[in-house]
Amino acid sequence: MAIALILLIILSAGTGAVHLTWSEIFDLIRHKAGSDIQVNSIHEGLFFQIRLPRTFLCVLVGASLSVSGAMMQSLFRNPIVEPGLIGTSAGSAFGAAMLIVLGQNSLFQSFSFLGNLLMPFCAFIGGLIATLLVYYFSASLNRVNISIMILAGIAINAIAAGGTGFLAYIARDPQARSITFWNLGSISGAGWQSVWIVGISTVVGFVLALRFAKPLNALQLGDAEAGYLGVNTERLKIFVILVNTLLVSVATSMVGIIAFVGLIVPHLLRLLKGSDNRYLLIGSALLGGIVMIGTDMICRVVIAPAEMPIGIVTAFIGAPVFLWLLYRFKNNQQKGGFYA
Amino acid sequence: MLSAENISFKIDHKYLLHENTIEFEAGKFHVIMGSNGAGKTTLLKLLAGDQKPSSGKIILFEKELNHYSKKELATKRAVLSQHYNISFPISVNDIVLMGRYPYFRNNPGTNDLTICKQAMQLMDVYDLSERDYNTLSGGEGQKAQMSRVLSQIWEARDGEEKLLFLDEPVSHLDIKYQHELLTAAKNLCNHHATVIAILHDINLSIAYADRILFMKQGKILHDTTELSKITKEVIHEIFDVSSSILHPPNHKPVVIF
Repeated sequence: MAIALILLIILSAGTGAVHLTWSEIFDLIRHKAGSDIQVNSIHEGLFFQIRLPRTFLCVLVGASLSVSGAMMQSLFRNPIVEPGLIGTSAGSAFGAAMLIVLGQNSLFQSFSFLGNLLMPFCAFIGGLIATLLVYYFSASLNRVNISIMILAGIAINAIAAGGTGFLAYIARDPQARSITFWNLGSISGAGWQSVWIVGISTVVGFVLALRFAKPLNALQLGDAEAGYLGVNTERLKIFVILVNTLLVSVATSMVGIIAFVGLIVPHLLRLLKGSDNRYLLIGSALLGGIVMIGTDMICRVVIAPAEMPIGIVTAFIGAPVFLWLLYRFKNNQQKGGFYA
Repeated sequence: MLSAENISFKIDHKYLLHENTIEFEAGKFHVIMGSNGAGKTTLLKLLAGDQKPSSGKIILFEKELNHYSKKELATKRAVLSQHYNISFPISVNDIVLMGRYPYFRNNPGTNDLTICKQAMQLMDVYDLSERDYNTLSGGEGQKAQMSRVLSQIWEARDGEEKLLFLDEPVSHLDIKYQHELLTAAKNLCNHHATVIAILHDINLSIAYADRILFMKQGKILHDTTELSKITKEVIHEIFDVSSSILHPPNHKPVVIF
């Protein structure tokens, strides 16, 4: 899977309105590395300043969302959870929109020492509040009430979307356009700076997530049972929600709301290799990157030379897959397990 | 080894458990009985450390229970519950391996894997180890869970004692599985563990217990090791049903309703 990911990275970097061949890409890389091969300087700029950061951002965002989806599903002990469903993404977008429109406000100015990190920071706060609200509405004594969770998710999503919409309405035109961009999701604005920011949050979040793999497995038996196996469940839940919010909100602050990736990637892996989080989390990071690159290539190709916001494509592909999962869920409920 | 002093547990102002003092004996099979709502599960949750008593204290190996970390406790006692609800595909192997989680960091050692294998063989589920847990029958699933619980307290170094809690482990199982499971618990009892179990079937309890504690309305009313002397008056007081007790020769007493 790691090899497939690397091949796709190269393929993706070559695909688009201007096509770069494999050999041209290798020439470009060798040129960059100091070799004196002649290369087309426009293609060089295109490759290093646009294609490459975009591709890396895709991988990182896909990995972030998928790892987060896998963790959330384990935490909620439910297969249909994903960051978009429980308000994390919408909350993050709302946080970012607040900053775009009200950024001159003294409250935001007092945080200006954060510099470029201010946007991810606001997204993080928004995402965290939304996720915590949904979680505490739906968590009762020893199990998460799924119907309440989904309804609370709808409500929180609606509030966040309403808030974002309101901000877009009162905003001046250029601001409004960047808010619309958040709601549709797009990778096209990628630069190296976003790659670094998302890269750090992805690596940090992923390393922390791996530490939760065993406790998250134990949690599948139930809260009390995980406790009997030595897991401090309350602390685990808080940490997992924090790490999730970090992964999702930072990704969202750079590329907007991208739905369904976090849902589908862990599912494909569960079907293939079972649900041991020790493998699931690593697999989700790799496959998440692969799926995002693939989706992004579709975005660039279908209406070339223009391109489609990636959120639209993930919704068109993701929503039917989600419905298919629900259909399986319905059919297999009586047989004992979701995948029976 | 494990004792409770004056423990009570209340939610709002309602007492679910009221001032119980119990001394459990090492190596014995204790059964807690009582009708629904008598406080059995609450008592077990307190003794196993899942919840803290509102008042009173619990002492495990000369140390107060709430001074143990969750991790420390996990190496001293294991708990088997009545029912498990798992939403994802997960192999029996992965379930049983969880019993060793308190003992390894990232990857299980060969010792951990050996113990899991032995526990599965003991419970006769080794052939199912690659199967998805959710496709097992109720009895098979519970035996897989028992393997996990056993692997958690499998080893006891130099005279160390372990505790096994069973919370209505066999209530929904066939007779065959009931006996397989309780026999495994009984054998561990003879080895290095003390068992504290909640059971519903009085005859099953008499067959396996060394000592039975009868609960009603949050209190332990009767506590006996002389199971042959259980009377129909006690049964009536606890369960509110009339019964007769037969004493077949060379057999434990049998309660009929």
